[in-house]
Amino acid sequence: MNTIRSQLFDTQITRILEHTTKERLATISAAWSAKPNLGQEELVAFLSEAMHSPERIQRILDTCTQFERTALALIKSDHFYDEITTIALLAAVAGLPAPKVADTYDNYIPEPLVPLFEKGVLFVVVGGYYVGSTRVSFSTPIEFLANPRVLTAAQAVDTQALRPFDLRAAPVPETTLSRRPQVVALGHSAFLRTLSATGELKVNRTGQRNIAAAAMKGLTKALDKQGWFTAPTVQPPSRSVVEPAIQPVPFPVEIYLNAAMSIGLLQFDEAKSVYKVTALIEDFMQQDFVQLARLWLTGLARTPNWHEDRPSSYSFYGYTLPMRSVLIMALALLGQNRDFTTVKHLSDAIFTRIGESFSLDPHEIRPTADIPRWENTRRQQRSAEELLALLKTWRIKLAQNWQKLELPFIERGLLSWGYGWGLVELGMTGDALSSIRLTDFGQAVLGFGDITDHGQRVATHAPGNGAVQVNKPQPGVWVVQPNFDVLVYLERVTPQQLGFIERYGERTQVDQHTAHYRLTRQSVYEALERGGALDALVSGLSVGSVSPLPQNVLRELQGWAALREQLTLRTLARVAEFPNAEARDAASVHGQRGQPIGDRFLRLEPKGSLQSPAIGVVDYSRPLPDCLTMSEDGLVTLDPAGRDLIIESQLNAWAEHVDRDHWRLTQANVAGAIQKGATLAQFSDTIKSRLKSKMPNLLHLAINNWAGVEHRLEVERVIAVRSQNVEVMQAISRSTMFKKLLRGTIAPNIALVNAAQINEFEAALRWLGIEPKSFGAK
Amino acid sequence: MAHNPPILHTNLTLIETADKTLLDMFFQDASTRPFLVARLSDTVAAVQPDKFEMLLNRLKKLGHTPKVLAE
Repeated sequence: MNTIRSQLFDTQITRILEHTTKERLATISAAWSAKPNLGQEELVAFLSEAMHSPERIQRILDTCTQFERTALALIKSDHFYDEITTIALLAAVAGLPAPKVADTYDNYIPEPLVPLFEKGVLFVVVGGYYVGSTRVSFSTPIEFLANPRVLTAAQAVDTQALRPFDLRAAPVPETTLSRRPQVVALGHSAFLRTLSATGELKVNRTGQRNIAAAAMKGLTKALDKQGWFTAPTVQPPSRSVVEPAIQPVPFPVEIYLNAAMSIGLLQFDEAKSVYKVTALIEDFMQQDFVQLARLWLTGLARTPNWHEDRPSSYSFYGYTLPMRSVLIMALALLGQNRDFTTVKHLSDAIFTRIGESFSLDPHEIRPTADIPRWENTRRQQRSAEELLALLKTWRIKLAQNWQKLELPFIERGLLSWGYGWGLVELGMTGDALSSIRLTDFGQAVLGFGDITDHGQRVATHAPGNGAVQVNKPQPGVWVVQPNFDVLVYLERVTPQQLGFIERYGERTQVDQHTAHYRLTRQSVYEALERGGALDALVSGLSVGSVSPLPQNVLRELQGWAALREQLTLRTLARVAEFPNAEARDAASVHGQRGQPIGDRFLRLEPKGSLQSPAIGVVDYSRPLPDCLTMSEDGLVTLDPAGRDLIIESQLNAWAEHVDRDHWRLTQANVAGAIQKGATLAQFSDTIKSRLKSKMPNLLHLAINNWAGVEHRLEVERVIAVRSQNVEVMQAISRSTMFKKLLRGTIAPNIALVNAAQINEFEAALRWLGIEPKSFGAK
Repeated sequence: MAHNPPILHTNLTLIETADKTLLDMFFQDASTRPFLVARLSDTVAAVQPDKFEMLLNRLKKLGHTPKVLAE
């Protein structure tokens, strides 16, 4: 899709202008008040400078129509999909002059936006060059570029210019469902915590960075275990509330994952082909509830591979994001309206504004997008009445199709992210969704008054139900009990405090007004491992606590933290090994910094270096060097140049230490190692893999035998029969009579006879006329 | 110092204990012993390369809460 970028504007603008047609350049230059009669090069130089000038940018903005200004405000907003056709569509939903959405086959730019291109505020770029025309072919890869300074200077959406829907109030529903901002934020933090605990998410092998099914399954299971999405709904005092029988969110994990990817919370690690979490929960939760919701909404608006409704075909996919932005805009237009409205009415209101120019179905024919041409092609065959009748029929069909395709999409959007993120209150009739209205929180999130700039979020927003104004720790938001349970009052807790307690505690239950946590050794340990600190834990708990912390809890927390100090695993360490203690101490005296270990070792500081060159470097992240040789009798020789910290202990496990560089493999040592649980595979991994040359076969056989691998060897007594004459022996060995008495030949003139059959053999020789003699006899 | 240059061991995983007894215990325990390849001092030992995760899990199963530091 044709998204609008602004990041590369500065690096590309001069080249783009240089490749712009003379006519187009003249139009843009006139808009920026260039002097007449300038040459092409002068125009390019003038525009390159003018487009950086705040005064000239303001003058350009002053020439923009209400529609154009709104379009620019929508482009700079993070709420919506920043794609060119979607921007025009959103303006239409907002009740601004409806643009004719261009036929996608020959024109990518909606006509009402063309002036922004003629003013040089937006550019069409193909392969890095301005094409000089708004018309490009379907197959051409194109981009849209916006001047970031113009976007910065552009005002937020003028809400006065937007036309709210004329919606009939629906009857007050039997039951309503909504989610508190605090509960929504709990969902965000629970998701992130589970994701952090999961560590990494593997992708499948298609190369498209889709998360592997097994990883998704594992994450979903972990989230379900936490009751991630089953937090309670708000219950108005006068009505009863039931959980809907419908699934509130069709694919809750995907929506969060995609949103997390879109806003950079989950980043792809190219080297390991996995997704990793990039933010700590508590860092993320530094924002207030509205900011948090907007962040997820920003991700949602750019999440292409999750769909509110199951698409009818692949071609549907490309229209999910525009339609989702349309729904976000439609909800924003509900504004301060406190009445419930039916979903059907909302859907019809959207249809009225864009139904004839947009459909989720890309194959929907839209003759009204180009009525004159449509009429012209048929004028010769049809009368004006016939054409009008045709148009009427088409509109009826279009409305029917909208009910089949777009209405379910709107329903699912409301039931999924609309409800799930606390933006809308659902009116239920039985198990079915009947009507909706914005929650106070939804009004604050979707309010246009403080629409966000790119990368700069405005903290002010309308007060609302639970939309906490400040994100500073509030006193008296929880009770820490002597049994380590923490009871959190959701009404007053800030996102920062939710992030804090989510970090250190283990959530056990969420009720309508309270959340229950438990401080455990494991939860505190994990929090400390993720960068937490005992002081921060104690002070954070104390600030939010209704009463002073129980003494036993304080003592135990200190004990848990102290326990962690008892044992350290240090990875990626660098250790200098000196030949003796004197050498190590001399190095220290000469300024070599590091932590002494034992007599001969020095652990270098993280960024420290060796003052004198090392005699050798052993890198334990790589395969260790081949450094052993073995002889048939089991003597193992270690090449001192390949000595590392682990080879000696590995040799000691299998062999007897003879002297500094020699070991001997013996039956007792090998059998002993096997008895202690070692395996021949481990021998192969640790010792055999370090050999500089092949292990002698005989030693290999011996080690196998010593390790208990059975090799059967049968002994049989045979008698050798030798003839000086090879021909004699060949005649004997090949004869049928003798074959059954021989065990084989070991040389052309020597055959072997089974000792038990020697008499029979000698008798046969005598029959042959040969008197057998002993070896060496004359 | 120039006459006694050291060998530099890099990307090494170390286990460090607050007291000797604890490390002795790990060397005696059949479930942790295979991960420890060289004792550098009373309280520090080198861990077999690529076995960090397995040792960490093992220690946690034994009820320890090791501090993990990456340099």
